[in-house]
Amino acid sequence: MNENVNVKVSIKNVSKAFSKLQVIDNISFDVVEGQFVCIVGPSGCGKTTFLKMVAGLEAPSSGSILVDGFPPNPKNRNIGFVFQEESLLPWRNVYENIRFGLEIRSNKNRKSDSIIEEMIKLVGLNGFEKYYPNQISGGMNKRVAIARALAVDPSILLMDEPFGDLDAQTRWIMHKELKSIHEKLKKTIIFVTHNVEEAVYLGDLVLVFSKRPIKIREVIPIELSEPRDKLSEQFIKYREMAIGLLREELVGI
Amino acid sequence: MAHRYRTLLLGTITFSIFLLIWQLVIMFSPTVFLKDAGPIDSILALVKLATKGDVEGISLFDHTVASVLRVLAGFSAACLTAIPLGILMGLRSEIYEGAKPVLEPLRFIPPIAWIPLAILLLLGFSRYVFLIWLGAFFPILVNTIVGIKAVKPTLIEVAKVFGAKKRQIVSKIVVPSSLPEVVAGMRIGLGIGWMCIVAAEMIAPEVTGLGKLILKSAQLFQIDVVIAGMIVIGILGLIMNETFLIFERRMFKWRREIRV
Repeated sequence: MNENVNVKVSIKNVSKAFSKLQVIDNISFDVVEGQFVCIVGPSGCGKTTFLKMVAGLEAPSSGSILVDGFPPNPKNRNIGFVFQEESLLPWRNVYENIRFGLEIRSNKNRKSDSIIEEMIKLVGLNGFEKYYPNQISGGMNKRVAIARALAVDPSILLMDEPFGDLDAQTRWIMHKELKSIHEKLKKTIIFVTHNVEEAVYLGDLVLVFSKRPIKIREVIPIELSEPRDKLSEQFIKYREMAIGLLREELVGI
Repeated sequence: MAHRYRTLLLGTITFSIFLLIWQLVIMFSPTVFLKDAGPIDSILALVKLATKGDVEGISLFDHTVASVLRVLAGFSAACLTAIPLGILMGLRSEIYEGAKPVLEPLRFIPPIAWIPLAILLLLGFSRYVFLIWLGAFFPILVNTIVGIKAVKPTLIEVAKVFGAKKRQIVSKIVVPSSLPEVVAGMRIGLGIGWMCIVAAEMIAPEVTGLGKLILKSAQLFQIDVVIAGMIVIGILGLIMNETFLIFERRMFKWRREIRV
């Protein structure tokens, strides 16, 4: 029973098909509260679909998804989602974008101002409140998206290849910052990527998905001392193991 | 800054050449009517129109106000009908598809073709309002529909993830995101409305309006007055368009590109 208390997300026998196309084939796993889970899989295998089901934007064809013990429904549960593509509202400045979720949740009280200030500080965007998305860099856009997702104090944070379109240097900085945000806020995070190094650097747990229809190919608990060193022998060992699994999947395509 | 002076210089040169050609056409024209219609004559006629009025004593100001009021009334009517309808049709494609067999053929009837019918069926001010409405309605409607349909699906998902209701998605995502298209449609609609008013005033019996002024003056062979009236029509159209453009640039500074 004690174990159950800690389970934040429970995926049981979940399958998903779009008419005849089977996308996800009977996957099950649990995510413990505060855990940072990274999912890697071949591009286009249906990882985004999976994440949208966890967010409650899509329904599974069969099986059950429980977040905090209930089927996910954005209408009555705070869920943070950071999208792969540009997702800021271009007509709102940084401050107003971060406020967006609070407005929808009609939390527009005095407290919301201090929450937004806090989020701006958290992602290091002080001084950029009045800027519009097209006036700031891609990395800053992602920071705003993360701050917007976190502002509603979500029970889980779902991230769909959020750093895919950033240059290597900016991505590296974002990894470090996301890691420190996770340490500070202890949010449960499910992070989807096709970049294995990213997954091993960020995750407490790395799930390797197979090609479509998705099955869980491997579950790799990452046991590395913090701060993680991308050049350490152990890091490379984990990385090569995951790359090897992924490559086997890609060969079959 | 250097760029600015260059543009100013180029503009002055072009404008001077234009005036020169105008003067040359007048000087070498075989028609006797045109001899008093050079640039200077026309400016003088404009001053006279503004101070003393036309042959009937109706001042330029009255003509202008009459035309502008008609256009603004018709344009407002077009905005009030086309924008809500466009939002509705953009959101629900079945309404758009259903209305298409009626809308599409109507869209390609020039407003000017409606003038004879408008003269028979309507009276006074309402006739102009109807014609301007016709001219401005379709560009605003079409642009609104396009703007609504062009909303990025990701932005709608952003709202859904926060648990937004349908109403919130429309008011906080769909409408603001389509606003630049809507305002561009309004600018085009106003331009078309302005062109229609001049034509409508020429044919309708009312004595005021810039269209009536230039037709009446042409019938009296006062070509300088005709040109003076044309200048006013052109300048007013330009002012309306520029006002809209300034407004668009201000309001939509978050947009990367502003189309002209």
